[in-house]
Amino acid sequence: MFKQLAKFSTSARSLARSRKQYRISPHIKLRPPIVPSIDNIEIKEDHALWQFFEDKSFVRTPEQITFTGRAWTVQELRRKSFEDLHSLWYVCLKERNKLYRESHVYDQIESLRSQEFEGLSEQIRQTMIHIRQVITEREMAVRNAQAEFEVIGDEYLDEFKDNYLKEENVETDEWYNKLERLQYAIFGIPDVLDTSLIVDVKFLEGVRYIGQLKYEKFASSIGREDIGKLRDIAEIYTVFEESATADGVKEACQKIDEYRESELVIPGSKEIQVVQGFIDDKIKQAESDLTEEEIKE
Amino acid sequence: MASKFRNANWLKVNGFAPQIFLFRNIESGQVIYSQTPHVGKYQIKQQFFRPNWENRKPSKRRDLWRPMAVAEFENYQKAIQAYHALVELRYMREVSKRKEAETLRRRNEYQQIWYSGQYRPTWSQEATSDLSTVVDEFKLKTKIYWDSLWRKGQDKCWNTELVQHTEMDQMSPRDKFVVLDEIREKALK
Repeated sequence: MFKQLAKFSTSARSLARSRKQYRISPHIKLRPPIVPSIDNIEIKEDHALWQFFEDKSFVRTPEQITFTGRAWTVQELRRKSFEDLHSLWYVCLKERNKLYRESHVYDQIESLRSQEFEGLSEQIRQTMIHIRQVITEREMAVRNAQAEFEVIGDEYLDEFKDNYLKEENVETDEWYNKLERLQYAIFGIPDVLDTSLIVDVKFLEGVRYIGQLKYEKFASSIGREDIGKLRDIAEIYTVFEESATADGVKEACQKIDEYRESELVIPGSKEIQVVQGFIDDKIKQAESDLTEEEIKE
Repeated sequence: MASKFRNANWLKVNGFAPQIFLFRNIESGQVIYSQTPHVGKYQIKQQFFRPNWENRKPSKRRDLWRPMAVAEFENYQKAIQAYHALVELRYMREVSKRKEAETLRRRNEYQQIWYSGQYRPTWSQEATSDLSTVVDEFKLKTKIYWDSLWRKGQDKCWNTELVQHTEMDQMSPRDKFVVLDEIREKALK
């Protein structure tokens, strides 16, 4: 039965001759192939691919996804904020991924049940189309407003300035918000500056407008009209970066006094560079403060 | 390295550990046993008997052979004994006990060995089964590194007192020799 052997080396043969039970018995019973088992694999609870499964089940039955609802209408979505729309979009997208995977499973066994999954997926797709519709509408509204602003922009800014100067108390949240929105919408200056910010002509315009506005509003009330006209961008920026309150402007005026002692005047050609420098310094300062705090902790 | 049979002394002198390497062909699913972490002409000649259309002689292309498992034994003699036994079991499956082995293989509707494309999972499953036979037969204390624990199958197939299962580090195919070398170094410490 066991005449022909695999050709082993001579040492193996001599070992086989010399020792008992060195070689495997020729009468051994072969074992059946060992089939791999997924029981040996542990899957993390937060594995990213679980997002394609509902409650970690392989597929839902069509009964589990029977629905009586409908897609969101455009009218309903128009009343939602951008954040709401953004999260709704991703809820829809994830649900469609699940449905598509499940319908594919039914497709593989050529079951007509996959159609029910596709039906629901189609409704969700309608919602997503409507979300895009609403966002496009808003985008167009912004573009129209920007185009209109180019025509009547100066008028609008003058009107805003008049209202701001006429108002008795501007140290309220309402006015702070108005200023913040104005600087962001018209000049693109965000409330919190970061390293990605690039200073351009528009940015400077905004700095000039807001700085001048604050100075004109508060100069007389804090008795600092002696400063007169703000001479250059450094002075205007000092007012701009302080808060829109009497105290803020007062502090800015003290800095301007110190600055005037040096008798420097920044020429128009260097303005962008200088403001960029101010912002970078401030961010560096903030970062080093942060790291110091971390070290203390 | 893997060009002929290597005895215990040679393995020791050349810094190899008492291990057997199981390489799996990703195209066909065939498995090669090797004393060193290499696949060569010698193993193919030694371990593939009576080739046919279902079990062709594989090529020695290095990109096709991926580590499936590394079995680590107590000493060099035992590693060599296990290596011989594995090759002999392969011989039995293909030649002397072919009929018995054929009855154990999963078939498709045409009574051929089940396959998908070129791939026949039965070859690697038989190699796993033979490894467990060898461990039980000689009562070898073994540590097996699997490329995925998935392959070791149900726990009831193994003698839990003798065998310890672990998983290799996940690697890209390009780095397989680095991982195998780390396993070797761990064994020599």
